[in-house]
Amino acid sequence: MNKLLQVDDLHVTFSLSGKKLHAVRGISFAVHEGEAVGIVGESGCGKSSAVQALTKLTNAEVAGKAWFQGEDLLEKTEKELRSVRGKHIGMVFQDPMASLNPTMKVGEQIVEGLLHHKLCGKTEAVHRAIELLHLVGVPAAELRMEQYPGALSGGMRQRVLIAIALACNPSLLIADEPTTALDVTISAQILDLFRSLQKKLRTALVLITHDLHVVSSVCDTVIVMYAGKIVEQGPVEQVLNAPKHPYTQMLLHATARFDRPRTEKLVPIEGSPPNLFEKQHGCPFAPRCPFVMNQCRDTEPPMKNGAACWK
Amino acid sequence: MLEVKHLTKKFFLGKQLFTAVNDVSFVIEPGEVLGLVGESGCGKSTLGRMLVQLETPTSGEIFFEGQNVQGRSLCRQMQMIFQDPYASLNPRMTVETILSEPAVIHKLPIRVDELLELVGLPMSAKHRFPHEFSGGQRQRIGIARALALSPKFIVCDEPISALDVSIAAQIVTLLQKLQQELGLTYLFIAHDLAMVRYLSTRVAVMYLGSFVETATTDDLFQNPLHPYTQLLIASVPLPDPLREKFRVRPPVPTEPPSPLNVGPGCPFRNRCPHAMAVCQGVTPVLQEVAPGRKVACHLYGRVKTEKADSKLVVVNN
Repeated sequence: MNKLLQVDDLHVTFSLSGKKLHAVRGISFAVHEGEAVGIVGESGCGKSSAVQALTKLTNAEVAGKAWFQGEDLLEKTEKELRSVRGKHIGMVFQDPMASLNPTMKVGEQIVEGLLHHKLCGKTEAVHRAIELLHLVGVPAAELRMEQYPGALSGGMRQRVLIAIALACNPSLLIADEPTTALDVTISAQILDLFRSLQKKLRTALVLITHDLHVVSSVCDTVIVMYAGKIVEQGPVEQVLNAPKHPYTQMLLHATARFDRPRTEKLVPIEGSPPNLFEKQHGCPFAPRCPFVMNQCRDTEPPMKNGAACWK
Repeated sequence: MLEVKHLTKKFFLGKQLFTAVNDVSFVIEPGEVLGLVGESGCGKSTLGRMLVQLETPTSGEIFFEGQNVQGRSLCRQMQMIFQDPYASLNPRMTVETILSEPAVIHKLPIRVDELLELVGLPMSAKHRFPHEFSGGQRQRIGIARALALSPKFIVCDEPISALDVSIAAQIVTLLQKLQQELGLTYLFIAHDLAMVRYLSTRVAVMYLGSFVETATTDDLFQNPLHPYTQLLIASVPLPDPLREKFRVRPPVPTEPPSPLNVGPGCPFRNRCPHAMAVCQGVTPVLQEVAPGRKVACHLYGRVKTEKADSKLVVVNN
């Protein structure tokens, strides 16, 4: 498989009332064509900041390289990026209501991208929009085209957003917590949809989530982030079934699981993530890690065999 | 400990009458953790708020230790932990004021230090304001406040849904520890089924304002009877990719109907893979199908119609 996206040493820094918040602290990863990559981590670990930085959807300071189809996304001007966003990289966000324009009909919002990138004429765009709504499982597509987002349920809105993101046949789809705002039965349907779309269209997918369980059904590889860094990455079976980094191991023990006996005790991770306003020394997880050694506090562990850990 | 009889709550949404909780009856035994699950808008929070008298029921009665709660102040015995640890603490009060306020109002001895220790917060927290704490710590303050009057019964309304995975586990283990040490009884409302399975002794499943199934936790998760419970459990993703890849989920034809127009018949009929003619017209009643197990579904046993007890509809089981 060819590499579609290669991110090298990405840093994202926000300036908040004079102070610097270093949200992403030098991460590198690759996404291959047709691959589904999950980025997992708790709030504030930098997972959303990292992908928003790729298409400059943030006003933070961004450093590093992001090679996409042979070009560095981070070098591009705002004007150049506009021809990438939507056309080559589609995005789906967490809150389906906040991402749709409430004063525009559903159909207009799907057609908008196609017309903006001058991919086809108006009649053809409308046809394509109806086709897309069928593809993402919206019943009575012709009728929905004429409705406003307010008339749709949360799950339907998320399907419409996925249709919008797929409209221009992007080679990469980024989904930022696409199921977090949805109920469990609806969320299962949306995950099934991602899975079937992946099989059908072979679009590469970057799925950002805080829920380790969500990546298991959709993703091929997983990246686990903690305090702005990647602590573990690898094939989904390996990361979830034989995690190497203590953070991943403990995260799996801190969630109640259906496939384990009810009596199995939850082991919470004591403490809280580090303050991202401050500089880090050594491993970011060291203060909460039960296996911590002196070395961990002084020197940052390099990524070795899929885990950034001295152990 | 707590007995609820035919509790109903209706709200006006504009001019439309909307039934949030529809004729719900149940019992909570002392020392029990009753898990209440269901999707958003099913009425589970409204039910919890009615129990602690934050909402007035439209009809029905609540008995606490045998006495009707209506018109009585029971906040010394029943307390609530709220979902959002940011919105449920007064930002202008220090932790000490927040934790001593209930005791001041009820003219009881103030025991802030003891409460902080119970929930695992440092003594230095006393003079700080809520915004200086993280989400998990704020939830601990919320728990300490609920414990301030030494209640017997606590409604935990989605106490972990606003928290991160590692922090949620801390809060759940804290709730479990407090329940065992202080002999508390909980109504644990959540949509995270795995956490409900972990913490509860018994579970009630709610759909569009009605209870559709109640059972002990083991029974419910090992052998769910109501098609909605089956769907809920099948929807939970497993963290094991091998199992997940070969998992077949029952297809769900539609999304839940608007709670505004449920109409007669079983509320789940439009999404149910086993829907029959009887489901369209007759609302199934929650009835015992095995010791300690109740289901509201026409698939199980004899079904009484809503109108008359004498008219029996027998459905093949």
